[in-house]
Amino acid sequence: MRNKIFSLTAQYLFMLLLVITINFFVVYLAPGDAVDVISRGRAEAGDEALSERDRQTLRRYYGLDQPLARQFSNYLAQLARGDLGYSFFHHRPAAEIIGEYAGRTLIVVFAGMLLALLIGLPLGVLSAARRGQALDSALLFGQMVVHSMPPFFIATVLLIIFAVELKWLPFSGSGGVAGAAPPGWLERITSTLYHLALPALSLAIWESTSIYYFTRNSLIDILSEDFILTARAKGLSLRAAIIRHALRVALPTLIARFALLFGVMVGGVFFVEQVFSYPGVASLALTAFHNHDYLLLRGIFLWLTVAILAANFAADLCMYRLDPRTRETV
Amino acid sequence: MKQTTKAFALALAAICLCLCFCLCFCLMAAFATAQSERTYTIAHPVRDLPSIFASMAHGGPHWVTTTFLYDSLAWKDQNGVVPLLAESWQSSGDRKRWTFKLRPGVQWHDGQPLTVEDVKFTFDYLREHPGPFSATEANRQIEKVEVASPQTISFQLKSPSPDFLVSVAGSVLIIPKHIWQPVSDPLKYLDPPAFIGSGPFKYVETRRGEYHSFVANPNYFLGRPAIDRLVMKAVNNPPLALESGDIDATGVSSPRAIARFSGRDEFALVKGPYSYYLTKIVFNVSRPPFDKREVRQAVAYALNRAEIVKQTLEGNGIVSSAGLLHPDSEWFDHDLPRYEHDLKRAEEMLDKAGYSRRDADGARMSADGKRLEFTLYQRGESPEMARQAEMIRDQLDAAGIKLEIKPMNTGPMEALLAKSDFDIAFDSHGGAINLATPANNPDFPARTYRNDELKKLYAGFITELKVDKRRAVASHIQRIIAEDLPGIPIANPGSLLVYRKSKGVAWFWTKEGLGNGAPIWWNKLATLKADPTLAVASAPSSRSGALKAGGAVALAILLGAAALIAMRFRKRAAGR
Repeated sequence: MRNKIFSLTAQYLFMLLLVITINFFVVYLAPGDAVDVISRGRAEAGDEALSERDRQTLRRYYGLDQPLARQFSNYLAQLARGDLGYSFFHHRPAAEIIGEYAGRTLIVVFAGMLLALLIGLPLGVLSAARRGQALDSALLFGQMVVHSMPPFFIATVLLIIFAVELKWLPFSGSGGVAGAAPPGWLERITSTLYHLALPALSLAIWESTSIYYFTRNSLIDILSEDFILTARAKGLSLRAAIIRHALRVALPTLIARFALLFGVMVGGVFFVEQVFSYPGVASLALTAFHNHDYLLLRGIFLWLTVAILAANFAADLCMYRLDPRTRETV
Repeated sequence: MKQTTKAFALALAAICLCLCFCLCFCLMAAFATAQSERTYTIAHPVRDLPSIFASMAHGGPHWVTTTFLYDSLAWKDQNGVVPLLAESWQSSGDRKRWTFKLRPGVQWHDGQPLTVEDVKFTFDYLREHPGPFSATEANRQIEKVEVASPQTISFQLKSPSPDFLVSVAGSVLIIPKHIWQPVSDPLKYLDPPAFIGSGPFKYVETRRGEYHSFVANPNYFLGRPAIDRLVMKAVNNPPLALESGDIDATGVSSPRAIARFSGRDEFALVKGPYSYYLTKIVFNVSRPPFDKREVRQAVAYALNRAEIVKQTLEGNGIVSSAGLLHPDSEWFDHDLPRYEHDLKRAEEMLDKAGYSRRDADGARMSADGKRLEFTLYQRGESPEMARQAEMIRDQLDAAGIKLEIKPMNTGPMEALLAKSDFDIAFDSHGGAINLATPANNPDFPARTYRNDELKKLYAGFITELKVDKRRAVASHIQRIIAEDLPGIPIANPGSLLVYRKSKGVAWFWTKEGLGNGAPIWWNKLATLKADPTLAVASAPSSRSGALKAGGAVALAILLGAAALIAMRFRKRAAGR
């Protein structure tokens, strides 16, 4: 067991290093640098463009004039110190900015995952229990329809119904109350939940289908196994058989599946944040890309990678801990 | 027994959930109405805290945001320059000395009085920290700042500057000495006192990427603003946000969005000046064949720019002047060559320039067989620009010039232009209202173009005092650009702003743009008085009524289903 965990950790660390390297170099493939963009921004607004000398000074200041290999080693040393670099555009450390936006994205993703579980799991159980009946077919059909919709479509539909037409839920933003004084904590929480509802629900509806399919299919498999037949023959109701026996067997893989959902959700959140003008990491990444704020962009990618790797690592660990079979094989 | 407890727990949980929901809805409703009653929200690209020292990196919109918190000596409204912190001003005959008389009794947001010392401090501080907008311009023009009396301050300039009122006095925001004097790195100073100004609004908070929140300054020297709170909010789809009530005013440019709001009672549409922003073909004049003036002019004749404007902007725009300057500028020359569509003339000019041979596909070739075939690098900003690029390609194809369009992002496009690594590009830029600053802007008139005579003329224009002579120089500049044609300006799109009438604020377009020509409609003067003619209550649309009814029915069905399930549970529990 310990060996297994050790090798798993090593695998993940290797993956992380690989991603860091790719992440560093890929940014250099795009021509033009941040100094060009800053200069243009000024000229566009009627102010003077930067002189060539100012540009060189800026490049030297941010280390953009050094050879690539040197920049890479500097980067690794920086990362070791927990420094993700400095954003030219925001004039602040990238880690600080990402921290601010990442919290909002994490809330949406976790709320979305939780809601997806709350929607997908019961429907999956219901479908498996009524296998082959009208309810099962209806659910299967409905889930297929939802599954084929892209997340931004679901988000747009929800936005138009609940924010534009009914005006029940907010059109944009992540919370906060615009008042005379910065709002208190209770207002912050209610406002955050209020703004969270639509983005999280969009993600949940989109990804609940995968939990539904997974639950339904694994339960159907398990329900035909001998131990369930025995239990049923002894007079156990179907409900009890599912809840006490079948679900328990399906649980480890379900949890792993749930943790893996994180990565998928992060992919979906990129679209959903756009639709709801939600100021999370995805919006930050898009602005950074537009402004050629390379260091910030690199920080965001790194953050995303670490978050997804961590979720996958957690999924693997869960499997080992919860499933006795994996423990025995070691 | 166990089942009954379970059912009971389930029912209890359901009731709790319902209660939570109701509570949330009540809270939501309470704060939605509380917000809409007192708050005015506009669409805004909220990027960072409104520090005036960050405006260099963040550009025009950021600077205009800070003008709600801080004031300059002079300002502009729809008719031109008006006094703001300065009550009056005068300049010496040679325009090298400007004296301003400060308005008495002005206070900073923290209650301290605003004095000439603050004004002097601001300009001295900018010399050491040239981050804010127009600081470079101020430092370039000003030799020294002197306090003449407790109410007056004089600026001694290095050379005559007839535009001082706009380029410096109307752009540099005055900051409080008592707060900034000890600050050594203003870019990093973002504590609450950093936002204390004298403007009509006080700073409350900013959530980066989401909103700025300002509250009315009750002691503003021009009177308390007509709105209590101003929120600048980042929304990705402003027209839809306006429709949903999320914001109260926004600028719109796409023909579809304009059509959506025109003719509706609850919204007012204000047509702005045709934008100072324009689209432009840029030639690389250092490479054949576009190093030849005749070829560039032939391209201009081959284009039907009027048709491009009609098709891509659906009439909401104008054909740009070949001299680059916007027709609204007081220096605009009306007698420049117009290059109206004349394909025959274009073909003759190309024949004459040595491109008379035609290839099998109709492409023109030089005598040595070089085809007139290029990549048109297009700044990939808007669908309108993409359509314009396509029309340019098709129109030039008729004249025997083959183009392949390649859309580019900002960074790569900048790199390409800076390195002159192109033959022909389709670009866009702003600032076309101002003849005084282009000397420093590489886009005026084009990156690869060098003309010493033009440089001299620009320098002369900036310092020339006599209006007649200035006009003559301005015309000369425009004529050189229009005849030499290092680029072909295509279209100035129309700019419109839409606002909700029921909120009482009547926004307007500032004459020749805010400050040095920023084509932005957020002029703080508009928020100062409510327009009584606007107070029209907007009726809720019937569509939303129908949807509400639908929602209620859906809710009833859901509740019914829940009740049924609960009953079944109870029956079962009783059966056991």
